[in-house]
Amino acid sequence: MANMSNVLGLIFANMHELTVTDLTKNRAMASIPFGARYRLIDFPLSNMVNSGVNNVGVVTKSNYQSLLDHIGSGDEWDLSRKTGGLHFLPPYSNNFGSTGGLYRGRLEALAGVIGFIKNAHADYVLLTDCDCVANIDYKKVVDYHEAQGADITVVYGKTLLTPEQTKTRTILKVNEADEVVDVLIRPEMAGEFNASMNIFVMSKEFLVKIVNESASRNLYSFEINVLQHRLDEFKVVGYCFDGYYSQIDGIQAYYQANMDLMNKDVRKALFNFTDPIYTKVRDEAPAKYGLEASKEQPYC
Amino acid sequence: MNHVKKECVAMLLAGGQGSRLYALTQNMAKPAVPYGGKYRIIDFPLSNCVNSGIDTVGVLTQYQPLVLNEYIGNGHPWGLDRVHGGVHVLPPYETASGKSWYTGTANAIYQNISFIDRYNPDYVAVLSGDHIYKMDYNAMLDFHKKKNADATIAVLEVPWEEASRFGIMTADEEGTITEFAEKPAEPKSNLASMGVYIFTWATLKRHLIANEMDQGATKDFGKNIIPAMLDEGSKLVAYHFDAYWKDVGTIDSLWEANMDCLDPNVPLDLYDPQWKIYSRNPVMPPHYAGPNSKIENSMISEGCVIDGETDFSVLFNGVTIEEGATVRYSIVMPNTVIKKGAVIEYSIVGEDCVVGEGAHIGEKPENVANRDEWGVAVIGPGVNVSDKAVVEPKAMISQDI
Repeated sequence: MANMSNVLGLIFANMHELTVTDLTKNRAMASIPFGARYRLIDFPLSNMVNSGVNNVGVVTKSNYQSLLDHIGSGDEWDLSRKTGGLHFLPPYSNNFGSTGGLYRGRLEALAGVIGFIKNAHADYVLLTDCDCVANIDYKKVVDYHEAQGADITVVYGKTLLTPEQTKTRTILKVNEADEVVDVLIRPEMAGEFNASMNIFVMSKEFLVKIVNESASRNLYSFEINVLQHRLDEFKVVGYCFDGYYSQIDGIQAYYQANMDLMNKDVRKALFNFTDPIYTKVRDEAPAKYGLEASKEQPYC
Repeated sequence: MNHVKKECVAMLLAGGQGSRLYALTQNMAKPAVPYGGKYRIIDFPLSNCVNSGIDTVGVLTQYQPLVLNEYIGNGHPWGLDRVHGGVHVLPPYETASGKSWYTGTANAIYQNISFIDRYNPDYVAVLSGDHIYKMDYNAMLDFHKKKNADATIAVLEVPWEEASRFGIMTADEEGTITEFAEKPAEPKSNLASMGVYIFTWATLKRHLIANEMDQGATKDFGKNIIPAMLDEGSKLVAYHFDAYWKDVGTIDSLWEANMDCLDPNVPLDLYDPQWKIYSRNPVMPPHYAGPNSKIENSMISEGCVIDGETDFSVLFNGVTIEEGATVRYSIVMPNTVIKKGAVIEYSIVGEDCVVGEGAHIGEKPENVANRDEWGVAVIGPGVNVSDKAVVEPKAMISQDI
């Protein structure tokens, strides 16, 4: 069983922004408001804390003022810690000369924070993006990764997708042992697929190795240059998450994920006492319903 | 003394039992009683301190302090987790000369003289922890300094017929207090003390020590310290306050004060971004109102799930009202579940209760023949009310029924 205090969490704040450009014009994907109260990053961040990951880095790229304002010192997530806690990782590098320090893909983003990763007291690194609304126990994923002796574990969900959706997603083909045998990146297809939830587990050692190897070859896409091109070389396994989740892969998905909250079962799956979703508190008074507030209910 | 000097330290009296709240204060001190949908009473003086720029607060606890201790924690929700100062819970403690409980309000401050002295303050604000009001203590401190007073007492004009329930000041036209009477039978004035004092620390400290030496004294601010200062010829001034202030020491006043949150004509603005009332966050999702719910004239907090009806009510966080249940003119405290078809009227239901299907709690005043028998019904925290049970108006329930 994995000791979760031995896991470093990395959250990518800006990935998938192009799928919801209207919402990310002035803010990072991570700080898109969600569900009347939250920001998208609250889900992966709370999942980390609830799973026992107390050392978390937030890798940013651009438009992160509202994210900084939201996260602050991390205390709302109980991540204002003496050891570990929350670390904000703004773009930092002159490695990528032509891009002015802005990474082009996940591997370059990792190369930019490689010092932080190396210095962390961790055997494993858990990577997530901010496009997934779910309440997931990451400990189960790390345990699975350990038990499988995998190099890379990818969390996926079986889901019905339209070509419009698969255009923004990574699709996995797995065998009966849940080993990933093929990776399709942004295909246009319809049907039920194992779609990556963009949550990965690797050992720190392995991660540092592939980042270095890729940097020296000017490769920057984790999905293309590692998952896809080096699939035969590594043991890549899938972890099937079968609970409720919503992948924000476009405006329609964002709208639907919000609307899903009207469903009791969805609320139950996302919000509970033992694994709460934390967020920044605004210290506003409770909601007030006035005279005749319920008189008209045009949507019922 | 290695502490950073503070101009003013606040001492918050939070040890009171609040015995007239009966079932609601069985397990918690009065300042910890929930109020206004997401607050506890102590949030008001604590937030006032922070908003007034007072960042060093001692909270004096004695009666049932567990809920309060946990609630205050390190003071983070109020921004009172400070490197210098911040909030400190101060229970009575044992010393080389023995141990003693806080025997009165003055004695509680006396026993913490060394806490105050660490900050070497010029002034000390002594605040009672059981009223609902928004007040700028800093403006009062300015007044205190301008008047060059030894003590400034916040007063408000109360109706003459109620004056004998309060500590009453008589002041001259300059505002200098000439007389003080604790709950006088025949009041000479209607200026009532709000339980908010600012003292020049050196003067107060001298009086606290003298009062402690006096074997006969009751160690109380109203009964001993204020009269002694008047006798001595110290300068005591009245500071007039005319905004919303509510004592919530009784079931009726607690119920009324909650209803005040719903009345647009009551001048208590909880939505003012410049003077927020801070509270500890329960970490719950937004409230949800189902398709058949009917919610009017009510305050609904996070985590509530409403499938029934509610009107003129204050619902705290995590309250569930099932389909067909009705809550009117009532206060329902955190995490309580009102089952299908239950009716709650003119009641206060404590935290973590379950009200069974079809139960009926409380009654409209107009349905009660003898008005003296009518009153707000109270269900204490953690009580299970069985299906179809009936709780009479004015009843006080602290065991499962």
